[in-house]
Amino acid sequence: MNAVRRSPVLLPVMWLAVTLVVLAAPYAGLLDESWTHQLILVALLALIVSGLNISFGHAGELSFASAAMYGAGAYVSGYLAMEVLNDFALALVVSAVVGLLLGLLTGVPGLRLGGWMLAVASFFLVLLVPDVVQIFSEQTGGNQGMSGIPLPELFGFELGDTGLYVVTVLVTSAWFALFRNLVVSRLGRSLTVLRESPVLASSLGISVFGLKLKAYALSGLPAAMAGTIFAYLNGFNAPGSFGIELTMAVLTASILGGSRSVYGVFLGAAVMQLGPMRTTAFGDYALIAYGVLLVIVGVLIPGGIVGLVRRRRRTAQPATTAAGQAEATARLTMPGRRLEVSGVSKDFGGVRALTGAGFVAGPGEVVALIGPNGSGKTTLLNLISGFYRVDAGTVRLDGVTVSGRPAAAVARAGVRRTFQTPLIPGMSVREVVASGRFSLDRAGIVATVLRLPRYRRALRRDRAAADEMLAAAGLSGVAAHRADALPLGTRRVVELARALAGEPAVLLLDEAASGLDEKEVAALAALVRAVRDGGGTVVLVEHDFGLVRSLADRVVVLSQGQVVTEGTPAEIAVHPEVLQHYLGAPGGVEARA
Amino acid sequence: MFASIVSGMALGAVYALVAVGYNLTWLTGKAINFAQAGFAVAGMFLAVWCYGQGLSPVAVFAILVAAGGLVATVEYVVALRPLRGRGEHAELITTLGFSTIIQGVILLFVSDDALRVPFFGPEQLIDVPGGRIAPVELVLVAVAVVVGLGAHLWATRTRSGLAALAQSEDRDAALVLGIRPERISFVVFVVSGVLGSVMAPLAGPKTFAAVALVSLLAIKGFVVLALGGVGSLLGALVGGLAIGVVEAVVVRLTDAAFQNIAVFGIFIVTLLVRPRGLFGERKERYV
Repeated sequence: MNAVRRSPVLLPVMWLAVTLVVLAAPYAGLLDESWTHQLILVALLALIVSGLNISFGHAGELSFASAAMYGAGAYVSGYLAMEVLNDFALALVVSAVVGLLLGLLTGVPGLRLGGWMLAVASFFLVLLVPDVVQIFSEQTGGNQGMSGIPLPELFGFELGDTGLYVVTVLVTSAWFALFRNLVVSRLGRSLTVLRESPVLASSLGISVFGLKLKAYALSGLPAAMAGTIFAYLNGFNAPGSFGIELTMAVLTASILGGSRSVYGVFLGAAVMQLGPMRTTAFGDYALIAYGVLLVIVGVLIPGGIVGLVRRRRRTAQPATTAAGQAEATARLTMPGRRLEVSGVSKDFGGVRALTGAGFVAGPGEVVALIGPNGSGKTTLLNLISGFYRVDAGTVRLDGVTVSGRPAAAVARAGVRRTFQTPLIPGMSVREVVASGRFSLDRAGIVATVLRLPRYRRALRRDRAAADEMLAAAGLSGVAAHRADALPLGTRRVVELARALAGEPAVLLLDEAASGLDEKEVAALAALVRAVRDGGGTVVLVEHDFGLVRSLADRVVVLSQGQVVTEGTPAEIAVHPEVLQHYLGAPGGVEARA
Repeated sequence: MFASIVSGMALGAVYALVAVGYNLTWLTGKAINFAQAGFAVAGMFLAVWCYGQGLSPVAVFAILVAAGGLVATVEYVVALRPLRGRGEHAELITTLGFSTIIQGVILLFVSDDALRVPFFGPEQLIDVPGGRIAPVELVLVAVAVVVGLGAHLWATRTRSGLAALAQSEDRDAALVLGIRPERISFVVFVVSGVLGSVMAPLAGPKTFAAVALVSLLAIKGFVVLALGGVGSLLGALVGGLAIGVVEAVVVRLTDAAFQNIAVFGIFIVTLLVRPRGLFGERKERYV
């Protein structure tokens, strides 16, 4: 999966070959008319399911809107063909736009709360189909249905039944190529990060709402295009074709084929279309069967059939080893910025966590925050990185106020961090490290799915930066391993490498050394020193005073949400108040360190 | 107009009862039962059948309690218990699956026609300004108020209610204090299922029994949840009645086709303007 490098032309050539074979099949007498009809239906279902997979499988937001988008595409296309201009391409484009707009209409409010509410908003959209059709009954034919949709034309040529098959195969093939490129891309990986941890995504500069909205709006596009084909195929639209039952079939097909898969979509769609959906006897039992399937699949196999296969392959991988020794000579260039925290306060429902705390960290400097548990160290980091909003005070980067901005915006301004419990998504180590750069090179969706030079350049820079950081952190040996399966110490180093790949103006480390063995601590310390020597600004929350002594240029001592004192490690080590508050024992520092 | 408002409040009472059911399982188990409305609609069909057998209202209620409790137990064991500690949407999918099964069973054994559900009390319409209202409509509103307020008082004032809420916030702490989280979640789940089925003899005469009602009631229940605030039992009551009234007014002033669209509009505006709902709590994100 990871290590094997295939030829870059293999996939496009295979793609073309399969498309041509499917296209030629009816002309070679392999498929009769009833089979081409069935294949078109499979393709339609596959298109709709691929949309659901973007929002549900990849962005992690369950949406039922497919049926509504499908219906919108079908009605709009039917109306265009009968009243405006009968052109397949025009109908396809207009449908796609309508699908996107409907996605925005339900996505913007639905995603505000996340989880349930998008599912409900999209479900509601489907229930409204008959009402909307009724309101526009002059155009849509109301409950009687919209009949008399002609066979499609394309640029003035009549397409006919076989022609419709050909354009359906072409549209499906083209869409799936784009869909595959979307899923297997930086954008696809940022969706993985988002799905597994919204907190991590925002700390990398990804706007959670923005990315989810993109994914959800995109998911309506193939469904609406499928609607165009459906209208031409049937010549007739009725509200009953776009109801909850279709949504259930789509959801079932998605789960069967694997909600995160690309090719599994065809499997799921074919099973549903050629199996249950074709038999009329199934009609009576359809809902019961869908329901049972949803329960079983929901309980037993979260990744669908394809997920099952993938998991088996994954467990067959050899066990991973810990990171190797970091190259001691690592040289990094890290232009840091001056971080000024002044007078910040924060309380949680009446509990004061911080009162007027402040400190300064400049480029080429390591500042350590120490203090007993509950003294506000992590709260302070969360305020700096924008996960909490300050009640009072400011956080500035080179004089520019960043407090008050959302976490993703703070991250984009250059603040990168690690977490007490490392947040590592299920990707390879190299991918995780490269993910630190998602918000740096922003290649748009179009550049991504078409693999334009802009996207390729971004990808090359990602690789180069990731390789540099992997080498500096001594992770080159495990670059292809799954990062989330690594031991804790290695995961911490991976997190640090990811933060560094993001070219941080300020680096925040939250207990980066806890749980590490001696060798790993030494490697970590070497890396932090390399960052400082390269001009970086580092803020470190750490309990191990020995490590603080060996790394920090200055130490800020917090107690009960206030800064008690600050100074060089040597000064702090003998400060009487610190001894009392933090170490709790006379002469304790020397004894412990 | 007065008659429309009362009639709307009665419809809203049905929504409120569904939303109270959602809230109970959410508050005590952090799971929402999509099939809640399915219990009510299946109960309506069951009640019609029982009346047809000549059973007394008391017997009908007893059968509904037993049936609701049994089906809810099955649902909990099959569709919810195996999911503990899984991702967010798992129970959405499995309870939706359960709701779909209920719809399928109704379609298979009964019909997809709407059935009239007789009211066991007086059916003589009452004259009021602007039209007439049925006694069952007044009963529905009263029951919704009693159930909504009762559930609210239980959750905020009683020992068992507070314990039930506490365990869903922090399982480990609850365990230490001798509360059994699993058991509370289960019991409350079954109680909400029973609430769903026993509301049927009251809701049915107002809404008619119809398969399509399962999805519609389920979704309107969610709109009420969003409007009132997820987790607020009082919000469910107020939000439900409010939405019912809006529907009635819209139908009176415009066309029936706008009834659901108006509710959708309320839903969208709520999410945009006040995502935590009327009575919801604001939550701080944490890392």
